[in-house]
Amino acid sequence: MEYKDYYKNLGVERNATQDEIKRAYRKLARTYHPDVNKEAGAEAKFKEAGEAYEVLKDPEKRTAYDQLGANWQQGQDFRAPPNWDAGFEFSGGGYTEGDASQFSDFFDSLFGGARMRGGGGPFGERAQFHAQGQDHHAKIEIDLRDAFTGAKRAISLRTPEVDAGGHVGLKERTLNVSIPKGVREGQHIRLAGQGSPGMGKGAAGDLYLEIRFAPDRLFRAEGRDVYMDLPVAPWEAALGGNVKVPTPEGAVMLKIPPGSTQGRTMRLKGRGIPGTPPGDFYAVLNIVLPPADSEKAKEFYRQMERELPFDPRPGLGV
Amino acid sequence: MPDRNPQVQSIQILEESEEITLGELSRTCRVHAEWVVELVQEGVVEPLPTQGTQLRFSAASIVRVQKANRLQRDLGVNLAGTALVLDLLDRIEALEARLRGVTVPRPPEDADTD
Repeated sequence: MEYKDYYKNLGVERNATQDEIKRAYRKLARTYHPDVNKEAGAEAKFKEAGEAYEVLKDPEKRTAYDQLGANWQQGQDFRAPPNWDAGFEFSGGGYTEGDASQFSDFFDSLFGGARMRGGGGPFGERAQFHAQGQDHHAKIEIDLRDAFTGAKRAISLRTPEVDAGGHVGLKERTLNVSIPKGVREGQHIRLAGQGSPGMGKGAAGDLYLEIRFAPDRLFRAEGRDVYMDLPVAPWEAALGGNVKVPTPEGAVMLKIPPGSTQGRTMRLKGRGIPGTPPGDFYAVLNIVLPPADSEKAKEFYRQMERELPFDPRPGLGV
Repeated sequence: MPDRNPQVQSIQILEESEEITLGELSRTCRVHAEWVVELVQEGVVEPLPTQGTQLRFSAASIVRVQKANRLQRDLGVNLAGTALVLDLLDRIEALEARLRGVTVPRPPEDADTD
């Protein structure tokens, strides 16, 4: 397993005071809390800081950890020396708060034993111990079109499991999930009993999936409404016309009213994501100019300049 | 094969339109009902309008109560702070959704003047 440099993970010196350690942890926790920070990697950093703080905030665990020496490098292959913690007495359980099962093998090899034999903590009488399994949270990315039809997705989950010997290992399993039609981005789906198994007579935890849409070349969703930029020629906007438009459910003919301007938004009622009520589909007109890249095209533009009395800047006051 | 790829039976979409009771909400989130009532009093979750005396919620409240629980547990935020954080997170999410629809401006070019 890999050595964890807890001081480095909290960004403090090895001789930092308990106050400095607490401040550093609080700041990292606020910055990287997965409910606050949606960036990839934030959750990993939050867990890393939590594990480091779990050890360094407790003078007993910190002293024991320090005893390993300062020469270890982050990520270096590590085996706990036999009886490395002889002479240290851990008064509490190994875990005091937070998601303890998320801690690393490294943590478990050093302090996992304390959890098993801790006297006063809630883990003291293991024979009597029942606990509901943990809830799991995962994001699942689907195509916007899947929200119109429903979709089946196989998702792999890695669940921490405690074996008979008390070691924590990761078990991979696959779930086939039917994503119902009409889901929206940011919505959660709850799969009862699909989280971690419970301990003792405790029930299994639940699995929560948060729906994300994969970026789409044409469409973007806001709630149940779907938007698309629709390029049109100047004459289509000026004179009106019928334009073939793709929607997630297939192409439709859309009528452009005469005298349309840039950014005009045309609604197709009820053609957004299905539901009660269904969302709408919006085509946002984007007027595209023909390039003046030939003598003939240039002559057309010159002719417009001569023959159309048009001031695009009447309101600028200059 | 079927037990290696179990078909999930119990699917619940946490939607606004699905109603749950106070008991279901606190059981699902594994928090005390009293604490949920505190969240209601602080305006963190809104119960649905009802004629009876029993509090009812939309299933979307499950996600909100769990978030509030995690914020308090992990960051030590108090009730008022939790309400503020959740409101600000909602606003950020709405703004980010709108941002996705905005075309990114191209880098500026220096213009000449006569």
